[in-house]
Amino acid sequence: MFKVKIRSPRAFNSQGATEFNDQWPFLEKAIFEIFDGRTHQLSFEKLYNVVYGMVLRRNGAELYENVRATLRSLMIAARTGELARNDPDLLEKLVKVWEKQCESLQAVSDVMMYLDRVFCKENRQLLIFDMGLELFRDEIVKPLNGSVKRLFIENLNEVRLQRSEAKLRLLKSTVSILESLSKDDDTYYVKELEPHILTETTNYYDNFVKSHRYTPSQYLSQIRELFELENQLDTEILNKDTTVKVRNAMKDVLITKNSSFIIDQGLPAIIEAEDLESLSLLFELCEKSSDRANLLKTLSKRIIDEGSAIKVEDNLKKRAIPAIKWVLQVLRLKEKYNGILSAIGQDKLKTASSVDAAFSLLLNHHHKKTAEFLSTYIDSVLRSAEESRVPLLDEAIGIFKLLKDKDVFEKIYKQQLSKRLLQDRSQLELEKHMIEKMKQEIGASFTSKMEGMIRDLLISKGYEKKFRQDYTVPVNFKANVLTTTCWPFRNTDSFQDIQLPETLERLKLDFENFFIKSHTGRTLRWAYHLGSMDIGCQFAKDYYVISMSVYAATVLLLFETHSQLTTEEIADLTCIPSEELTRQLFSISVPPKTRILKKRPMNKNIAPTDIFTFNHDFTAATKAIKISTVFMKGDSSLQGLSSLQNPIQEAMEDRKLLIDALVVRELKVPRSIKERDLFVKVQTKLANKFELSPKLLSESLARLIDREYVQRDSEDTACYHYLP
Amino acid sequence: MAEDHMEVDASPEVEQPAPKKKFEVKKWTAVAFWSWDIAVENCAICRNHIMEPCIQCQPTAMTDTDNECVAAWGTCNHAFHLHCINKWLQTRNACPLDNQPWQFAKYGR
Repeated sequence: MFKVKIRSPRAFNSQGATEFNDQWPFLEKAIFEIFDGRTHQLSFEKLYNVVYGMVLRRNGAELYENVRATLRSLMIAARTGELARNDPDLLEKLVKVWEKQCESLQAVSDVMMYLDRVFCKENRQLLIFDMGLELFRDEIVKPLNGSVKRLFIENLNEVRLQRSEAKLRLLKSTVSILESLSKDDDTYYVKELEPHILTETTNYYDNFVKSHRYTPSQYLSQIRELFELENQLDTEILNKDTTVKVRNAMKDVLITKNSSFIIDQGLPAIIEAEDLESLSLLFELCEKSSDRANLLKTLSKRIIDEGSAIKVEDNLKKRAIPAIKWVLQVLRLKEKYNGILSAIGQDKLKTASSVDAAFSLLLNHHHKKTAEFLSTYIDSVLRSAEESRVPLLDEAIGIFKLLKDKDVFEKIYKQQLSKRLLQDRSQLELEKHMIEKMKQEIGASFTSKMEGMIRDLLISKGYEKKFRQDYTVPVNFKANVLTTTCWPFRNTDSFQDIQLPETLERLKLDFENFFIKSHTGRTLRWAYHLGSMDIGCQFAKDYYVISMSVYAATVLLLFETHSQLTTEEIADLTCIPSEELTRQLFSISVPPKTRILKKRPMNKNIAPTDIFTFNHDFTAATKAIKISTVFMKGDSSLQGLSSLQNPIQEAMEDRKLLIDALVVRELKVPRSIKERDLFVKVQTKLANKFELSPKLLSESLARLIDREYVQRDSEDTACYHYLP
Repeated sequence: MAEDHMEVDASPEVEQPAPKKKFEVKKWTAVAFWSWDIAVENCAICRNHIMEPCIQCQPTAMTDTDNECVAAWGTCNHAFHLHCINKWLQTRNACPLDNQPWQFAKYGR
C-alpha cells in the first residue's frame, strides 16, 4: 500500500503528471494485448493498481481521454482490417467483430473499474464499457450504416422466401447489436434500422401483390399466409414493438391500399358465394378501424341492395299475399346475414349492430309499408295451423325490433288481433307468447291494450260456463264482453239496438241480467256488427249451416214467418240502421255464391221498394257456408275492422298529438330551448314509437305557436320560449 | 265494413222446434262492450284507465283473470282503482283530488 507522505499540492500534482506519463504506455500496451486476445499474460492486479494510482493522483481525466483515443484507434483498425463495405458477408463479420470487441471491452472495463467508480461517476462521464460501445457505433457501425441496412433487408427478404436458420440467427444477432447501441435517447436500432425495415417491408409486399393476380378469396388466403409467415419471422428476429409496427405496415399495404379490391369487390363476391371462411378471414384481416368501418359500410350497402331488390308483388285480390312474401324474403335475408355474423370471429357486437342498422334502414326507409306487412305476416302465421309457429314468431320479432314505425304497427296489429280474437282464429297461448315478446322488446305501455284484449276474452270464457249454470240457454251462446278502452273500435257508445227474434232477445236480456248481477254499476252495449250467428237452413235440395253476421241472421229469421218483404218492411221490423241494412241485404241477395234471398228486381242496387223472398233453390258445394258482409264502395259510416288505410292516418294524427304534448313538456321546465336540443329530447322519448323527423317537429312548433303555447325568440329563430 | 263469422264447428244444443221450423239458430257468438254507468276517466293515482287493471295488476293482466281489479267511488264522486285508493288511504284518509275526508260510496265489479 501507499506510504502516506505529506507534500505540497503542487509537488503532488507535478509528480502525478510524470508518474502518469511513465505508466500510461504500460496500460496502453495492456489494452492492445487485451484486444489481441493475449490476456493470459497480464496481471489484473497490477493493472488495477496502476489505474487506481492514476485516479487517486487526479489523473482520471487524462486517463479517460487516453483510453478513449486508444479504443477509437482499435475500433478503426478493426473496421479497416476486417469489415469492407462491399463484402456480402459483412453482417457475419460484423457479428464476429462485435462479439470480440464486447469481450475485450468488458476486460478493459474490468481493469478500469476504479476509474469507472470514482472518476466517471463524479464527473458524469460514460462508463468505459459504454464509451466503448459509443466508439463501436461511431467508428464501426456508422460508416457501414448503409451497407448494414441494405444487407439486413436483403437477408430478410431471402428469409421471407425461404426459411434459413443461419440467416435468422444472423438477423437476430444484428438486431441485438443495434439494440445494444444507443442513439438520441433511444437505441440505434429504433432510430436507424426499424424505419428502414418498415419502409422496405412495405415495398416488398407492395411488389409482391403487384406481381401476382388473384381472385378476392385467393388473395385473402394468400395474405393471411403472408401475415402468419411474417409474424413468425418477426417474433424470432425482431422485438414485439417492431413486430406490431410491421404488422400495421403490412395491413396498410395489403389491405387499406387494396381496399377497393378486397372490400368493394371482394365482399359482395364472397357473400354471393357464401364463402364463410373467406368472410371470417376478411373480418380478421380488416382489423384497422378505418378498414373495419369501410368493411361494415360495404356490408350494410350490400344488405340494403339485396333487400331493396326484393319485389313487392301486385296482388289486388289478396292484399296479404305480397306482404307475406315480402316479409318471408326479408326474413331469409336476415337469416343469411345472421349466418354470416356467426362466422365472424371477432368484433361480433359491432358487426351485429351494423347489420341491424342496415336492416333497420332497409325496413324503415326503403319500404313504406313494412309495419303493415310485418303485422300481416304475423297475422298469417298466427292463423295458420302449422306446428312450429313459435320459432316463426320469434323470428318475426327480430324484424319488429328494428322497425321504427311501431305506432303504425301497433294500430294495425291491434286491428288484426281483435279480428283473430273475436273470430277465434288463433290460439290464445300463441297470442300471449307474441304479446310477451313485444313487451320484452319495448315495454308494457306498448302491449297493455293488447293484454287487456286477451284478458277480456279469458274473462268472457268464464262467463260462458256460469251463465249456463244459472239460465237455460237454448242455443250455443257465447258472449265476449269487451273493455272499450282496449279494443280498436270507435264510437262504441253509438251502437244501436236492433229488434232480435224473440228467443234471441230473451237470451240477450238474460245475459244482461246475469252480467249486471255480478258487476254492479256496469251496462252492456251490444256490438252486432262484430258478432256472428250460425243458422241451419233447409233449402229445397239440401240442408246447410250458414254462418253470417247477426244483422244478416236477423233479416233471414224474418222469413220464418213472412214469405216476402220489402226493404222498408225489413227496416221497420229489425230496426237495423239503413246503411248497414243495405250492405247486409246486398251480401245475402246479390253475390251468386251467397244468394240465400231472392231480390226483385234483380240488380246490384238495394232500393227501399225492392222485394225479397227466401231462395229455396240455393245450393252450395259444402254443407257449412260462411257469408262475409260485402264492403260497399264509398261506405264510410262505420269504422270497420279491415280497412288498413285508417290505422296509418290515425297513427299520423296520434303522432301530432304526442309530439305537441312532448314539446310542451320539454319546454315547461327550461322555459326556453334551442330547436336542436328539443329535437334530440323529443326524439329519444319517441324512440319506441316512431322516428321523429325535423319536419314533424317544426310543424308541431308552428301549431303550438298558433295556439300560443310557444313563442319563437325574436332574435334567434332557432330558439323557442314557453308561454305560461 | 266487413264482418266475418264463426266456422261451424260446435254441435249445437238441440232446440225443440215448433212444427218444422225453416231456420234453426245453432250458435250465436255475441260481442258486447261494457261500461260504467257513471262516466270515468283515468285513475288519478296510477294513470291507467279505470276500466283497465291498475298499474300493479297490469303485469298479470293476461294470466291472472280471476283477480279482478275493481274501481271504487268515494262519496265525493271521484273514482280510483280500489288497489290505488287503498294504498293512498294508508297515508291519508282523504280523497287525493279534493282533500275531503274519504268515504267509500261503492265498489264496481
